[in-house]
Amino acid sequence: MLREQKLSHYINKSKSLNIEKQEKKIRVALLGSFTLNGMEETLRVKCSEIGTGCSSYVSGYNQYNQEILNDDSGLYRFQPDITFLIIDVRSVLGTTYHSPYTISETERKQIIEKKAGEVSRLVKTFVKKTDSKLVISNLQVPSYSPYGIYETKTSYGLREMVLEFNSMLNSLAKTEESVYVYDFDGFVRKYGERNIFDFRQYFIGDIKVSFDYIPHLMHDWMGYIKAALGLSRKCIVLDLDNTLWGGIVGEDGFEGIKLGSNPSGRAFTEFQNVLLGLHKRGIILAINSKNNYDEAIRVIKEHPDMVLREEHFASMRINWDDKVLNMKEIASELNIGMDSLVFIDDDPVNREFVRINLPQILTVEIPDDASQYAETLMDMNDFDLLKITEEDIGRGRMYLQDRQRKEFERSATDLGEFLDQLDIRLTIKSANDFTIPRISQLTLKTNQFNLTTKRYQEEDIRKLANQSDYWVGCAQVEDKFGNNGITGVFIVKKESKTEWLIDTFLLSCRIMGRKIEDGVLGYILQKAKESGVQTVKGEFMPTKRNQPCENFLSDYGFSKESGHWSYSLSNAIKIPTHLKLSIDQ
Amino acid sequence: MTDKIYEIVSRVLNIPISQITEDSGQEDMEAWDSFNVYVLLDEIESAFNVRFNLDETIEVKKVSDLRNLLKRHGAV
Repeated sequence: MLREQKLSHYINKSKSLNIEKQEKKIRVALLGSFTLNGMEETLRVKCSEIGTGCSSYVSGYNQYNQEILNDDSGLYRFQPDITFLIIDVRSVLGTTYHSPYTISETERKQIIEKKAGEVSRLVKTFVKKTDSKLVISNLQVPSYSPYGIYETKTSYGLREMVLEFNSMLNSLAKTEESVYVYDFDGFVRKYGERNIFDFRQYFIGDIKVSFDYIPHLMHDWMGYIKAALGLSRKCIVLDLDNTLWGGIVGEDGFEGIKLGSNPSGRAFTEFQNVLLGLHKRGIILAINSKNNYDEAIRVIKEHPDMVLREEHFASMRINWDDKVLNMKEIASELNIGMDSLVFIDDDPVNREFVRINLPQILTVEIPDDASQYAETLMDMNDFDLLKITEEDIGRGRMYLQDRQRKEFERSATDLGEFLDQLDIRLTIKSANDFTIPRISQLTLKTNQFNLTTKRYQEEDIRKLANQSDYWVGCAQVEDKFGNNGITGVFIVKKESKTEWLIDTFLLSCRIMGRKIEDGVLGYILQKAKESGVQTVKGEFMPTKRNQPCENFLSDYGFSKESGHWSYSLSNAIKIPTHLKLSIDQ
Repeated sequence: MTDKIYEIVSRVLNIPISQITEDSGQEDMEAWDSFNVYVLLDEIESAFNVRFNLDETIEVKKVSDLRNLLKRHGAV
């Protein structure tokens, strides 16, 4: 089970935080139907652990209705980025919670429709009044029923009522873009109703999540905060011996390692299955192992019980080099930042070595017991995304294509020839319902080739796309090896009839080095010229990470004028000839 | 050896151990509020492996109450 600190640890630590010093900031509001003490303290500490200053607002006890309905409430004045609303099953059902069977089935249905309708209207009011994301917890399905064993034979009984309410919440979250449902019922299933709900704490102070489990609940909620901040990790780097399989292949041999249907082997198989599940939704896998390459690769290719095969790994470093060096090579081969990596290794010495040298990597404190590997991975909130796009799901395949592309590059004699033969098709798309989620995701995640590193939530992009003085677009890149999907974004501010400003220009690291940027920028300039604009201005706002595009504007031919880079449209507009450009409005 | 109860009170309420006496409690400690006292009790229970009943829980107003309760449960 997830190891957590006691609540008092967080309450104390929260008193000595300096949120001003943190690079990232987030404003979090908490609303609820019961005592929420201890939650904001825990969130503030957990945010500071990931370099984020968290300001928080907690509504008065059971004041969530008024806070949401009143335009001038403390909640709206606080202007949260993300709001958590938790109402509990007892408050929602009232007397029906204890006596569901003094009323008819029809009346029970009416109660749920009425209650779900109230919450739905409340949520819609909230969405109209603020840009904050809303995470609403669903209701815990009670384990107890006065009908006892007959409960499950009862038509529209207590449990079905709650399940129906929850399913109505899910429908709401599917239609309201900025609303998410937190599966509080799942949380209670995971840790147990008798642990979460402590009668004594409930009687004393209307505490409906017991002290010991508030940190666990906040751990789950941090998944939303990390995702909203764009801090989701993209890649898991794995050791092999005693991590992906039991034993040491160099000593125990191909036949001797533990994997498959014996009890200790099953722990590793389960772990691999969870990894495969993550891989299939877009998490990249890589290997960093001290081993003889031939022995290790034979297991990966030929062992009958291996779940993960060569095709699942985007990068493999199986050698006797040091792990930090390997890690740097993996990051550079995959073209992703260290802060996108997670490292899993059973050896505490290796972990410490990587942690000290590359603190940006999340090195997981994996337990000694392999039977806990799978659940350790399942407890992580670092892979959460607010939206899983097609690009995410296809990412594994894309990295495989990348490896093939690199092999092709090595066989080509010069860069120009290589780019020509890649047969790149660049499609410029406008912002619409299909592309907006991905556009926002790229602004939140892209660190390297990003001129201004402005972060935009989905709601922000939707607004800008509807403004006549903004032009929001994106670029899809395909080549002979496959489709990279939407991998470039630009936002242009039409400052006047004669002058446009590039507010955002970014490329996913996956497609860097193919002069795609010149194609997209050329297209922007062309479009500006057609619209009668004389000058397009751009900015480079340096961060720790965006050196790759430092010279992009000047290399293209922009000149520095009064703090801005600008390009006069009386100059020629270059679009590289190896790109086949098309426009998809 | 420092007193285990004082240690826990000090850690949970974030107060220097030197400032804690048997009479410390809701009267003179700001941190000893209606919520923190239950967090404190929760930690005392885990540390001494006891469980107080509801009425005992409500009784606790100062450090000496904690000690008396623990004595009653045979934990100190």
